[in-house]
Amino acid sequence: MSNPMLEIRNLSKWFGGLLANNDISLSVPPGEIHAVIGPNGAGKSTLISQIAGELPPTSGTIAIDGLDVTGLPAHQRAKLGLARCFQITSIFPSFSAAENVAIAAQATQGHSYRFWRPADSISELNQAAAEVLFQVGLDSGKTRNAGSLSHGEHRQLEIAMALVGRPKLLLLDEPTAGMGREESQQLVRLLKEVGAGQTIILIEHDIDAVFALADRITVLANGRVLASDVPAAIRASPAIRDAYLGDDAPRS
Amino acid sequence: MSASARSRRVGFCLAWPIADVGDEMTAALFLEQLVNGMQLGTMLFLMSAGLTLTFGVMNFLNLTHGSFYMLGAFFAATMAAWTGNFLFAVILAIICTLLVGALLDLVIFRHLYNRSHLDQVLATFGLLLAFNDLVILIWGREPLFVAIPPMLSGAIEISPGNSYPLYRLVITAAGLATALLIWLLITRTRLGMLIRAGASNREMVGALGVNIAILFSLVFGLGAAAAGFAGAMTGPLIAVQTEMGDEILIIAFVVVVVGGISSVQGTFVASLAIGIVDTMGRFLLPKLLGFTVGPALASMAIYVLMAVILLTRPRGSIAARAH
Amino acid sequence: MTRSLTSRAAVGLFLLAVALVPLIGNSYQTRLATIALVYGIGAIGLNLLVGYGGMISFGHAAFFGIGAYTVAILGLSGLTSTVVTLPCAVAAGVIGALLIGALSLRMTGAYFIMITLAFAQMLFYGSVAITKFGGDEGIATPRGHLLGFDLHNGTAFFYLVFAITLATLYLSRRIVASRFGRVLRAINDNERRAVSVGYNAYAYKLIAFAIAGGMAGLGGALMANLNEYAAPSLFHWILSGEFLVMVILGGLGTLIGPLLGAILFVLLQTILSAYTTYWMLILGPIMLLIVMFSSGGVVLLLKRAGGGSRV
Repeated sequence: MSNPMLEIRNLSKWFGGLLANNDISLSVPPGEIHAVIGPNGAGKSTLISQIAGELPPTSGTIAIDGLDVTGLPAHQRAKLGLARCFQITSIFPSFSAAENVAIAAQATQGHSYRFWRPADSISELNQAAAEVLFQVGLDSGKTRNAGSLSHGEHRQLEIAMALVGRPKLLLLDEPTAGMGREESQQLVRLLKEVGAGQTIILIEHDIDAVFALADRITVLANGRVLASDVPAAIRASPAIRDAYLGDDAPRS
Repeated sequence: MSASARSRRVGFCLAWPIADVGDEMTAALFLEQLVNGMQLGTMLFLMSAGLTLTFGVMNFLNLTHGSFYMLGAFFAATMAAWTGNFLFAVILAIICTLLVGALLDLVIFRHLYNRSHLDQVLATFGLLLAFNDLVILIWGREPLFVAIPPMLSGAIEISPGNSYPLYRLVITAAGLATALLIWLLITRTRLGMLIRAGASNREMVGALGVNIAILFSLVFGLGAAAAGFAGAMTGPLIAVQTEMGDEILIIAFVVVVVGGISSVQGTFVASLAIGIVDTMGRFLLPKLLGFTVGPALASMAIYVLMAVILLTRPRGSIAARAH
Repeated sequence: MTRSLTSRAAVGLFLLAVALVPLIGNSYQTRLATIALVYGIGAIGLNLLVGYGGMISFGHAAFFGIGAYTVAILGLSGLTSTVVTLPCAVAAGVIGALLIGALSLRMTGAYFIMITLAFAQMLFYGSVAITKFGGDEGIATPRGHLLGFDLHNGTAFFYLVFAITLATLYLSRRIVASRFGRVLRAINDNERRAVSVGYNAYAYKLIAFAIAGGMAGLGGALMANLNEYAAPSLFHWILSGEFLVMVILGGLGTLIGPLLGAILFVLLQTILSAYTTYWMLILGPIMLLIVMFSSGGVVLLLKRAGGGSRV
């Protein structure tokens, strides 16, 4: 049996007197889309930040594809195959969309301490960028600054930047946030398409999106894992329905 | 400004009594240098408090702060010469510096609080340079001489056969008293609470209905007054001349870096530490390491201290807090 | 990378005009132009940091001084060949920058500004205190030679400096457009994103800092050759500030900007001080006005260079 792509063991995080993540354990096999849901303040963002390497855990371990990354800084985890999309879209606003993706692609090609050749003349990077942009449905021909793109296009761009490096693990932090119904459904379709075979940790509030995408769901509340199971079981559990899903329970 | 003229200013601005080559290392001498270090430390605190406050509350990096020190000294020197009463002169100097600060805040700095640090640094740098020249225009190039008030010009015997200048003790005490007042203001009054709150969350304080503009002006004025006070008091000990604020400004920066901006106590401890390290370094290092390497290392001592502090801090820890 | 024909032509004309100074001007003007170019080399390095990297170093003079003193110290040992002294000065600048940068880059924002200022001033005091190296009077050093070719002639020296300036300009253009340069600009644009795609931001910034230090060292070395002495004032924080002013003055978000700014600054300084000894009283407020009235601040002017490929 192969390594889980992501293995979290007894992860805890204290902020002063507040226990934001309480002894969380999670195992995600390769190729699984694993959703993490929970009410606000449940500790989802803290969990994501620790997986990404932005926040050091107080205790516990994190392993990506069998490798213990608990002590590694964020940029090193990225080089090991961790890609991330932020809750508030985070791209390079002064660069074009194609350049954004090329920069992400460049990061996977060893070091960039190269000072002579113009970066935009490197065809492998440009090609990889164009391919991925096509996949997510963005026009790579647009040269204007990515900062002027729409919110939805920013999301697509982030996904492109994440995918171009052929990541092992993709962290998606509330991708449908700020989107209307139409747009969300479009994004879910896109994620289904490009996310096939990809191991994904998905944080979401949009329950429809969660049930459309997730292979398994973990429910967090008050920093602890409440339940971790297939969507059908989560949906069927009356306790969880009442405690969290409430009126947002998807139409069965 | 010629190269040599500029470098000759070194050491004159901070009232370092350089111990003589021939001095023996006695306990009394050691103690004297220690007290000198405390004196420098308290003056440093008066400078740094303003920087810490304006930087902490308004995120405003102000190079012109050095000019307040300089103006305080010049105002005090002039007023003392006119009125013959040093205490009166110091008070007037503080008021005048405060007025200059208030004017600058109203007309210029107010518009810089929201700007990038680069803008702030360039603007205040330009002003600092302009003030350095303005001071020459008004008072001339020759250093001003300020007499120590006769009442305070004696010396106190701290141990048999050893005495310490009374004036230095007085200004150290004054500095400590002011430090205590500032601490009480920050920690025990409503204004101080607002200042501390504003330092951690500007928008929130504004949302609570506090007039941010007035709060900022008060903080700025407090800082300017403290700097002017330090300059006015130190006047009799040193050469009151242009650029005298630059040196202490940079040391105040070191204090801010070392002490952080989160508390008045932190600034105070850092100020004393740096004042003492600097003074003791200049006293001890030439003795310990000879006169080729000693003085060089002595002048770099506090920066080495800063480097060590930087190494031991986790990367970016303060930066996260600073915003 | 597209550059309009007119802007290329403008840059070309500008450089040509500079190149003609020794031929149409007198020796004083040639010397002035040489000074401007030497500062320009330093400013080009700083622009890399500030304009493209977003790192506001107020300690650039540190490496300028290091370069100057390297030349002077080598000169004391009899080594005056510029083929040797200039690269040594660059290396010294790089090493100094790696050391100071490693410490300074541990903190960001305003702290970085204060720390770089402090370290540069540390070198200033150190150089004043080391009496062996001339104390506050500095060290005299003969003007170097280029492979035996005597450089005492002002015109000859000017053209050497001009050639070096062109080379530095070209190098900076390649660096900015390179993969390294793109990463640096990306980090400046959005550091969090750059880190999350796998870039070690601290390392890239440090390298940029070192490159800038090397360029400043080169400038300082040429200054020591020009004046035939090295003095502590070359470390002084006011010079650091003046470098920043040069970058801003010319800084329309271009690579040629710092050179333009250096020339403007030297011109302003010369013209103003001919009228009055209190020229800072005029230049200071000018700087203030530039900052206050450039809408969005001066950084916006510089940031245009950041993501785009405009040079």
